[in-house]
Amino acid sequence: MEHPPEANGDERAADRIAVALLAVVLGVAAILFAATLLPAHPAATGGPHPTYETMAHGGPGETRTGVLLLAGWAYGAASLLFFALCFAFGLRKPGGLGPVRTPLIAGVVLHQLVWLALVLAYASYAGDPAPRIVLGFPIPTAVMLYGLWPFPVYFVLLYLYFFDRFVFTADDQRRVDELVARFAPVEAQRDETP
Amino acid sequence: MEDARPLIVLACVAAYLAVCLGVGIWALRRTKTSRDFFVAGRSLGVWVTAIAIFSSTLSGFAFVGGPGLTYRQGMSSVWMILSSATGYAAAFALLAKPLRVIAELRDTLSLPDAVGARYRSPTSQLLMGVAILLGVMGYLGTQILAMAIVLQGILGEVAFIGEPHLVTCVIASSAVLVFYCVTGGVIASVYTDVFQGAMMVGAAFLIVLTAQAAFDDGFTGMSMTLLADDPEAIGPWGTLGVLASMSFFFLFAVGNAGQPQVITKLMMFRRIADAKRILPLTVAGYTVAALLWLIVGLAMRALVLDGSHGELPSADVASATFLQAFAHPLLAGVVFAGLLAAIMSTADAFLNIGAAVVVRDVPRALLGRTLQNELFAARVATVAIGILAAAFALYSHYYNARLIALLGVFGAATFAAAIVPVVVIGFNWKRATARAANVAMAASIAINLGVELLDLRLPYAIHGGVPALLVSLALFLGISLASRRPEIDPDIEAAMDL
Repeated sequence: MEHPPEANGDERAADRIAVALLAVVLGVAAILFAATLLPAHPAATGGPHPTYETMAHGGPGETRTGVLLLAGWAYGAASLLFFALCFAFGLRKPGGLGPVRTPLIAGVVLHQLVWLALVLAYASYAGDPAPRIVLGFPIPTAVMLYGLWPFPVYFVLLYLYFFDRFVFTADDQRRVDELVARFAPVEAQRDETP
Repeated sequence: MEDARPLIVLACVAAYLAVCLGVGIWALRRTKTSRDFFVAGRSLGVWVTAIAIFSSTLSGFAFVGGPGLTYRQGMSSVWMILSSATGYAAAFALLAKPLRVIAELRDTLSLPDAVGARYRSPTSQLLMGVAILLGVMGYLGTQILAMAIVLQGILGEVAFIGEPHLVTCVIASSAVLVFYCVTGGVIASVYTDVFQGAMMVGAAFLIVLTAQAAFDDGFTGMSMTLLADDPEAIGPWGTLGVLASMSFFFLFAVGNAGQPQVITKLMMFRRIADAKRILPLTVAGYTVAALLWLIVGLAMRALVLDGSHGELPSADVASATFLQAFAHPLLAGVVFAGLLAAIMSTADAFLNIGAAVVVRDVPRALLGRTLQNELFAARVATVAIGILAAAFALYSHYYNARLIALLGVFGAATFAAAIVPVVVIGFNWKRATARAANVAMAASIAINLGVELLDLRLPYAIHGGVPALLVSLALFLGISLASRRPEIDPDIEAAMDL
């Protein structure tokens, strides 16, 4: 009888990330389900523009958003966590995240703070009769466009900086060459068709 | 100059189409095997791969539908593009290594091919092939129809031509597309992508400058006009509200990591070490090109509100109206050619992916072998899929308008829900089982089809693709965790250990 392979320490660590991903997915589902139980404002998703047929109109921000802002914040925070876990899943090697671990955690925390700043900025913007414009946009929109949008560049730089040092080292290239020499020719010959 | 505007636009578009045909002829001599046809011999350089990835992500929707949504709803839909850099970063971190190494070890030429190898399961390969093929038909149909409508609009403006019939435009535009895809396969596709991507970036950059110049006080003036009318539209969630915006963010960031035309290209570059430079170039190119989605929509809304332009007949003409009314004729010509480029760069990728499913994945899954003359079969399949998609697009346009939109939306949502768990997570997690993969893919197809067929509308305008994504992820992770650890072939396991 064939026995299933035993898990080593690294595989158990991968399983823990998978459990965390499952928890985030179920968390998102719970947040969305809870939101549907809230009494909806008639303009929660906007309505027709009073003058222009081809435009929608948002309506009163403070009253239509209300407690939904909390659900929105939780949904956004869970989404960012989901991507952080995916990123960690991808960069992990046997032995863990190595030198990437600390800057990755720092990035995740900063990302969450920028997201929180956007939500808080919107909370004060929604009821403000004379919102300020910063860099061409209202403050929460400016945080969105100049803070949240470019933030993944941090993760791109992390990938760039640690690529040769950890993600794919010269040793890894040697292992790939060995694997190709050992496994690839037979497969390649089988499927080579003109 | 203004009088010659239609001719200038036509000349730019004709020059662009001529370049596409030229690349097709050039690539014919470089396409000698099915490996060349489907994965460019795994020899693409850094710049070519990066530009091909972002330009095939940005379809005609980014030039027409996206600005139209921003015009109508304000900032809501901007979350769809804002999420993309996150999706690219995740896709590279998760897939650039294992997918490229497995492609080398198993000579995989398509995504379902790699899935079959990873899970040791012809059923998984077949299900992935079916999910991709269904999505491809919807996507391709919408792109071909969009291409024909753009061409019809451009030709219709030229006095001595007059407005041609839509069928003529479908035949003409599809003929160019199918020609270079048949002759040069993915080599022609990616090299036209380079030209197309460069045009898209240049066009977007110039359009942003034009939009800023359209207001006395630049973007501040634009924002003041929008703010005076409706603070929510220019607020971060737009008119649709916070939950809808977050559902766009979640679905499109995850979905971007699961787009087959993106991750298939991760099997095509020359050396694994190239991934390091491809990722930042991809993110930078996409971000600049995507500015068009944001700026044109907002600018056109503000220009209508401040009385600089009358109300539009529909939100979808926001881009075209802005170009005709506010852009220099030469810039309008370049952007119209850029629009065709955006449509064709997505369409050619899907044509190639669809052909791979038909001639490689289906025979492998059902017969256990590949076809005898795979390259010839691939060319025949490319023509057949092109004709089918064009016919489908016309049938839907004239007889059942909902059909093509339904398959288009179904395609996007199914790619996210089927590919993300099975490929993006499954290629990094040895515990993932074939059964979990098959259940997740079947569930993603069934739920997305159900949502679209029943025309289900979720509360708070949450995107209809979100439930399928959550369910397929939960099923995939849950079933794998509850199952015994599966056997994995030693070469695949070694690739996953890197």
